[in-house]
Amino acid sequence: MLLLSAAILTGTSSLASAQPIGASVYATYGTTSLTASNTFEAAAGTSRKSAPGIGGTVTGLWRGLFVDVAFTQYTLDAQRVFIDQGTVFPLGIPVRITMRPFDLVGGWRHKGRSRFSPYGGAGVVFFQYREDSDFATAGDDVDERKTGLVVLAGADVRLMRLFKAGGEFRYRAVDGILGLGGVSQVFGDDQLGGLSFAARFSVGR
Amino acid sequence: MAAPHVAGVAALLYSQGINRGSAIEAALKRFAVDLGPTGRDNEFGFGLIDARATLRGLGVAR
Repeated sequence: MLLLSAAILTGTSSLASAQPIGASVYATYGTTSLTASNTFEAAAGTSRKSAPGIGGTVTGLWRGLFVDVAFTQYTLDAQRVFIDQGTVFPLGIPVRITMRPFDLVGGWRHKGRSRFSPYGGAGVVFFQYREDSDFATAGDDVDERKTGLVVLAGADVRLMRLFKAGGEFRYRAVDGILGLGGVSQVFGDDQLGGLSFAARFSVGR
Repeated sequence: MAAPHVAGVAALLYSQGINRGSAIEAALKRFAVDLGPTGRDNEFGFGLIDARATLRGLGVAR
């Protein structure tokens, strides 16, 4: 038993030493297709939004295990509307929508001998949603924070010793913000988030 | 004296872009403050019109 434990420990340490702990920071730029498409089409005229993001990754915690944090900010210019029998009547009152997802993800990165490195993971998203409109009084505007799920999958290629470029898909789902009132309740859209594809540029090991 | 108030708000809604009669009626009913028994009743009708709420319409989440 003692010999078996020693063998496992030796094996683990040799594998861990094969992939030393590394850290990198990255910037992303991508487009998100929002889940509540009917709601955002009605209020903002679009359900797709491009946005920059930043993040950081610590890799090689145990074999290919990594931890990743990412922050993105979406801003949309919309307007208040009235909806009757599927017809949207814009009322000309501007609404500024700000969405700030902060992702905390754990995942697995495959590091072979090639420069190509695919990865995937899942975690939690801390989502802030703000809605500010003109002529608002106390209680009219919205500032909500909820927690949801995020999954990601991507791949990158090492271009230079410390520089990598790649792309990734990221899906977020957050309940409890939409669907309780306003346009989202009319359309029955109760989930915030969506599917993103972003280009990712990393610096670090 | 309800009719002049309702007509006034209806005119404001029309000027704001709701240009269909049935939609104006739906907006007035949706944002009216219910009075008396729940829902429409013979004494208060659909309730008291709320001009501000009606003219503000709907946001995304609220």
